[in-house]
Amino acid sequence: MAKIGVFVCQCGNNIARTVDTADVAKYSSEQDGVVHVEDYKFMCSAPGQEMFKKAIKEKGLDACIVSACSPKMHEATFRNAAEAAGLNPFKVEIANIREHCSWVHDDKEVGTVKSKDLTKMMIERIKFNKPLERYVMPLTKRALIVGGGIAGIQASLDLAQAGIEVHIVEREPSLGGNMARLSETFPTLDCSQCIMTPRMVEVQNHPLITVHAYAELEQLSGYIGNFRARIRQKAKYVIDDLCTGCGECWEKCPFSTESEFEMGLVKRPIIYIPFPQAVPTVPVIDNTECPKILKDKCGLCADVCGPDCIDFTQQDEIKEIDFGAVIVATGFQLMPNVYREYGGWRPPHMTPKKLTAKQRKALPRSDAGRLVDVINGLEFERLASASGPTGGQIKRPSDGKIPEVVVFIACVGSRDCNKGVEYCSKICCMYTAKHTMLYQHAVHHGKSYVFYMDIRAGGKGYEEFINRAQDEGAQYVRGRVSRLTKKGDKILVKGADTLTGQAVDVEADMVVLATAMVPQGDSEQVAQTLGIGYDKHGFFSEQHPKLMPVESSTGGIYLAGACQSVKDIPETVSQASATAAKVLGLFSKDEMMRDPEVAIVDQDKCMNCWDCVTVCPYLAIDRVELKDRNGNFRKWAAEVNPGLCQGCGICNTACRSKSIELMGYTNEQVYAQITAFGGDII
Amino acid sequence: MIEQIRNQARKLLEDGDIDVVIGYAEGSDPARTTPIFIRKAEDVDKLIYDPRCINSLPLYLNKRHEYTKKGWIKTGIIGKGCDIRAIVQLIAENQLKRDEVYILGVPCEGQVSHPEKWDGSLHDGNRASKCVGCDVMTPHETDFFPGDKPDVDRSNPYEVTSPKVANLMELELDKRFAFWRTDFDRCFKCYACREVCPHCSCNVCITDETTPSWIDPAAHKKGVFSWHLTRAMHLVGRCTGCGECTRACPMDIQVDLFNQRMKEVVQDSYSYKPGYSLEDKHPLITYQVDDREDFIK
Amino acid sequence: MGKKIEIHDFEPKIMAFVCKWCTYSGADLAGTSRMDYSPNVRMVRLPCSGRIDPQFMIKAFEQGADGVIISGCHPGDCHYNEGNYYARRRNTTFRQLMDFNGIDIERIEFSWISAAEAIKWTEVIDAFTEKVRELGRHPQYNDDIVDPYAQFLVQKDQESA
Repeated sequence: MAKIGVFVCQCGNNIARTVDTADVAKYSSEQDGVVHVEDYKFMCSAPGQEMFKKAIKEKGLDACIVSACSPKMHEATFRNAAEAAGLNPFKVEIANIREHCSWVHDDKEVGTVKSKDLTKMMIERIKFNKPLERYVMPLTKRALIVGGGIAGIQASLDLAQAGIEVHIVEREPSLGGNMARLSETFPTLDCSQCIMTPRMVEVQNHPLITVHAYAELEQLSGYIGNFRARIRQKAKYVIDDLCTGCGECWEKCPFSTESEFEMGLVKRPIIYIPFPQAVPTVPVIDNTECPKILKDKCGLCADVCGPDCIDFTQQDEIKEIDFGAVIVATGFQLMPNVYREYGGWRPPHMTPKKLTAKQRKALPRSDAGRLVDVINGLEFERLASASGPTGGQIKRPSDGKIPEVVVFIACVGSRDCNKGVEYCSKICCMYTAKHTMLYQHAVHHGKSYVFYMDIRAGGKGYEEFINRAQDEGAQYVRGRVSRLTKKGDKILVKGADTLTGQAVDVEADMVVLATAMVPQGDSEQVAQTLGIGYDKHGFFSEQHPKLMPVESSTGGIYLAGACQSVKDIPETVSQASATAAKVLGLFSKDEMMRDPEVAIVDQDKCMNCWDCVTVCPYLAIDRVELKDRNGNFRKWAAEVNPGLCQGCGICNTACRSKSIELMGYTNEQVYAQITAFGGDII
Repeated sequence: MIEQIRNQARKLLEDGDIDVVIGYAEGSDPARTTPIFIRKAEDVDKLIYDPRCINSLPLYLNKRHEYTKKGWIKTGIIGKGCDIRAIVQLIAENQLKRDEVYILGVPCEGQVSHPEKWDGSLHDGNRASKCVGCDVMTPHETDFFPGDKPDVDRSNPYEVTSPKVANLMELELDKRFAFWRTDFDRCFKCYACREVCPHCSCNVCITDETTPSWIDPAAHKKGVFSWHLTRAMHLVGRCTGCGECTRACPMDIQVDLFNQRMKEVVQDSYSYKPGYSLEDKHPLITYQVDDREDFIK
Repeated sequence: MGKKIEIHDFEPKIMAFVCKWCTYSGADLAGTSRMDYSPNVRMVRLPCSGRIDPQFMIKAFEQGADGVIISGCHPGDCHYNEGNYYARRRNTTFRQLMDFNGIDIERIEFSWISAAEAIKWTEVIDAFTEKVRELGRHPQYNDDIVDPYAQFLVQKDQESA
């Protein structure tokens, strides 16, 4: 026989004014199974909670209803109080007679009847509440960071400093990401490499951080606290431990190909490090171009290698490592294909074989009409960079001449529903202003024009930076550019100035396009490997856009940086530290306590139609073989992984035989609530 | 045609490729056929196929009938189009594996709806309503077919709206309710419609659930309505239209009208026809982001 | 505040099945904002609109409810990503089934109400209560309905079958 206690709260006048709480208490005492009722002014107060706990202990109550405010307010309060008094917290339910009754109905008679109904529904429901126990799950206190750009670097340092073992998986030969390509950063015009390389070295030297450079995450299985990652260490053909980074091999390599790091502006050898400050300073051999690996010709690098660390027989290596949490910091790329009207441009380093099929289809058929002096932001960064292909002198790619007139076009691909993406890429206004200043500093007599739609400069010191760019000589023209055409050895820019209402033509030596910031080309595959959500652009989805911007929809996987949404460097670093904080929170105890409101399968009833497996948004339901005690196959059944289950209940509805139940919202509980509702409205 | 089937069945049984062939044989009176389970090669001559064979055989593949499957590894079955739809749906729902069944497809011109109407041949006067507009007269998924199997395009929507469903839909709402109310007066919850359905395979049926008892077992009106509504919901996107439920009902209640109506709804809303593809998932466990929501406020 | 609730001769009983993330919070917001609405509704809180089973609705009608409201998060906003899509599909078919059965599907209201849409909650409740009040009591399955036209149809059916 149930021993239910009902505690009706008056909430001062909030409930008592429009609900006769004494009547509700009396009505509740007449219900089957109710052995104790209270009618009190403020149940959530200290004396109220003391009364609550005392009643549980003295009367030996096995379930409690508190008819008061919304469960969102105080369900946790009363559940904790019950636990302190020795009652399972899941045997406490709240009947919402304030937000749903006393505050919305003025008539006391009506309010009292409704409160009685709501309380009775909860009384009947709680008879079927099970005393659920939180799950205790083991935890591997090791974090995986996918991506070694500034976000990955920051997160790894934060975690390592807190004593957590971290592994970074980076698919390029070096850490650094896109930030390593930058010349200077806004709004301070700090040298990008100078602020980043010390951190890269710190990462390399830190005893708790392991960097897997030139490696990719192939598979991630498991669940929060217990992931298993399969990492493919691509063959570098160089033995890491022996290499001293002396540089003999890459200086002597007789062959070359387009440099990905330098955006195709210059070539690099086949055995290479992407840039001089690369970390780790271990070169890799590009096995799509190396004649020794493809045709067994050459091999010069091995001959000149002092420590004799080049091994052409090296194979890819698979490593399987357990992790408790994953931080995704895979970064962004600039939109790889742009309008034909702008010269049929494509980034030269992305030779067709490196593009995805979709990107290849969008390319112009030939490079014949391509305007070589139309470049994107990252190419300009390389031109401006002191360690870049032109040594910091702004020289245009076609003939190496110093451009006298440079046109910068903003919003190329962004804010464009027809041919690009509809969102604003946020950073382009700032880096375009920065580019005008870098150009001005390098070419004192040069003239720069910026064709813009709006200027977005919302960060700290950002508006001042834009003003500075204009003070230093950049001419801002509000209007779009319709076409770029070759005129002699210059580029004719046909644009408009909407503020004067006139067409504006500029003969430019070089044009820099502020192309849209988009997710990496394979972000969909990465999301599917990780099991996280992504939006229609390929950005990874956060759990809640306002309140949970660093958690992905999968427990234990966190998002940092531009892979989640467009952002600049300070925001990236903040988000990276935020993910580190989340991981530290997760790892703060030795075990994980999981909410027990998860689904459970009655495996005898299950008829393995797998409808639940199909509908589960978290892939939390597995198909398992049940065996008898002799090890013979008995039947198939579904099994829920409580680590992954988030408690939505879609499986419960999909199951025709009701073999799967969501604890806390079982069919019995809902049935009891429905059948309890039978009274009159008034 | 039937000779080719018999020969194939004989060969399979002799070679031991299959353990049993489920087919049709002469029934207890000249107007009926009866299902037969042939285990020995010499019995295959009992197999027949003609327009009297309206019985649905995939019922015996459904695992609820474990007792009939003792020791069978691979089952051969004579399959007319609608039956093969049921088999395909069973496989899609993981109740049967494709390699556990050997389908001997037969071309079908139609079936006679009631033995009383059999007069030696099939014609419009005695054709079953499910056979009108059938697109699997040449069955779609077979392991053996006598002769050449022509290609048929089955991607079109069902052409024929059931006339009885159309009649009911033309009625006003309360008259429709009155129709069902009167019809269900006769239902006494024998669950024959459930027993004979090839897709009904839950180990513990929802009607047998007592905690809680969603469907009252008694034959009062509440229990009857909730049973038929539940049966219809559980078969949305899964019913392959064999019509056995109505045929089995001892009180001649048109229970499959619900299923026919739901078939139209699923066709209109989700362009889905159950029983045509082995990989299909029925529409209630899938979704499109732009599903219709014209009724949503 | 202060809207006098009119009590009519027939007050419909309305059962609402709502998702706890969006609609329940929206109703809470209506309470915090002290909005008025009809008192006929009784809510059952569920984790997601995807948890709403047609069995609940059938049972609610059997237990004397005159109208049923189902409400959840807008498509794309589901806390569990997909629950409301499944709810939408299930209800599309269930409504057609009830309609075929002769139950007025105006008695089943499906809406998307987010946690910020307190006003929409009150409007939906008021409008629906009014509508169900006009529709009258839900035809109980036990009522003796003897409709000669229906009997004629049944008889005709049996003859042609």
